[in-house]
Amino acid sequence: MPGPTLLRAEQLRRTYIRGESEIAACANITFSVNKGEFVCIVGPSGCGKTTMLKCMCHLLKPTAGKVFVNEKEIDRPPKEMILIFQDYSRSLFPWRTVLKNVLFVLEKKRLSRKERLDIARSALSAVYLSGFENHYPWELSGGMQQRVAIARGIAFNPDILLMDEPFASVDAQTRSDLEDAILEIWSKFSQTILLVTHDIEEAIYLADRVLVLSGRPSEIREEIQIDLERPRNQLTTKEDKRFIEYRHHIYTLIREEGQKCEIAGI
Amino acid sequence: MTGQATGRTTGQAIKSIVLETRLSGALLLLFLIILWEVLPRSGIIYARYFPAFSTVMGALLEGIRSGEILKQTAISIYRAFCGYFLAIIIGVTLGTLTGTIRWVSDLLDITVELLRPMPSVALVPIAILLFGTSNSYNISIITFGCTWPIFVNTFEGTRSVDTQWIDTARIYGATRFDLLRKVVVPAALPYIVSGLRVSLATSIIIVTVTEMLASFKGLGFFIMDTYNGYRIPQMYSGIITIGLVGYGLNWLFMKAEGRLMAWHKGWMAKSV
Ligand SMILES: Nc1ncnc2c1ncn2[C@@H]1O[C@H](COP(=O)(O)OP(=O)(O)O)[C@@H](O)[C@H]1O
Ligand SMILES: [Mg+2]
Repeated sequence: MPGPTLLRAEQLRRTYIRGESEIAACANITFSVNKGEFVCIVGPSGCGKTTMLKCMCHLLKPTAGKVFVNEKEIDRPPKEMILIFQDYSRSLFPWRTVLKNVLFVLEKKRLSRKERLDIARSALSAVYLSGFENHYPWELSGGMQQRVAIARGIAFNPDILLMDEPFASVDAQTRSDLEDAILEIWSKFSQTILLVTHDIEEAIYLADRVLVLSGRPSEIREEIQIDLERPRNQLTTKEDKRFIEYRHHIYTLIREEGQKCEIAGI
Repeated sequence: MTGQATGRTTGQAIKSIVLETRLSGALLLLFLIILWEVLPRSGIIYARYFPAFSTVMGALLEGIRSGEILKQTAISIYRAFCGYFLAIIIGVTLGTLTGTIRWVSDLLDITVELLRPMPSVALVPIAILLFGTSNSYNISIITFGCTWPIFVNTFEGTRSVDTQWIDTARIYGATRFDLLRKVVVPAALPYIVSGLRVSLATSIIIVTVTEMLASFKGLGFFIMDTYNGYRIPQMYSGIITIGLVGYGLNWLFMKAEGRLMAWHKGWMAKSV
């Protein structure tokens, strides 16, 4: 059932120089994402998740290792892949209205004015923001701003959407709304999504497959296939016996990693 | 409650109207004008050197009617505008390059820091040697003086653009030029605009001074010429006109800024 491999990271490593010493943020990351899959990566804060994603998009050069998109090795930010940041307020452009923020990503595409507008409008309506086209992002709530960022992502029509803790800066209620919104988009547009989070329940709730990261320097510690029915439901899915077992298992893994870090003095 | 409301005296009502509206400002201005009229007329100050308001207004209206004041004003505004315009082009371009490209900033740093504190009017002799008393003389000095505030603000603004905006644009396929045009410059615009505001005032100052020193046209020249000819009311009318020009240009600027930078005001208010 899994489609062809869309994204593959091979022994990705990235170090930062701090003063005299060299700190490895991610050590040796290897995994792949298949077309149509929803994959979540969980790991504790500060373990190198953002670093890993930036390397995947080539915003940062990996110290070692390779990233393949559609089996082509990338050497610049690939057109097939986009990244949605945690901090929407610093990625939406405050000088552009909501509609113009979405149009921004279409400006490099060969499209007529009308086609651009149609695409932008339908992306906004997919995240239930029709009617807010002429607002500025900062006039909207945090959840709505992140929806604009998502609309911008889907308007670009990438093969794969990477998301860096996209719901970490909103309140709990908004967060579950956004989780359901992204699931809806994922199935409606047959998207492929790689979402990074530190929230175990969020990862299980969303994913087909969860990759658990070790503490810094991070590696993929374990890979867990999530067998829970779709469509998922915030109440019943999270009450499912299997959901609770997954949570127990992943929680234990991450606790172990946390203790290892403390012992190693990281 | 009602007792209090109806209990307000007429005096209190007047006080609140004057203080809570912009009436107070107009009243002060009116008061100063009356003083300006009364003091010279009553002989408290010497009317020859300090003619009454009505006398100055008479000279101003006469100057407008004859076209002289308007002609001189047009020349000064033209020079100020040319210098200001060149300064915008130079300041924004150099500021953006310096703010975004490391080697340009290394290259220009020392030279800029040496030139920047130089009072622009100190360059008057050089400009006269180069350009005589043609418009280029005034314009070159205005350009010199107006470039620095624009340059420095553009530099600061472009240097401090949030890297996540840049990353976002790069993900969506922006080229280096796109980054400049669509992210760096708009993001730095609030800084650039404050440089532009400072330079606008500077351009009026410099055009006046350079015309006073070595020109045969323009409001600065008119003020010195009427002074030398002992046409004191006319001299005052020139001074008033240059003040009004500065006020008017600043007013236009604020209007334009209010429209263009509305996003910045709203955004700042939200992101405290
Ligand atoms: N630009 C940088 N320079 C030096 N160290 C950095 C830099 N960015 C991140 N780090 C370090 O790398 C580690 C991983 O950071 P990050 O990838 O942001 O983790 P996460 O996203 O999982 O919270 C952290 O310990 C952080 O301090
Ligand atoms: Mg992070």
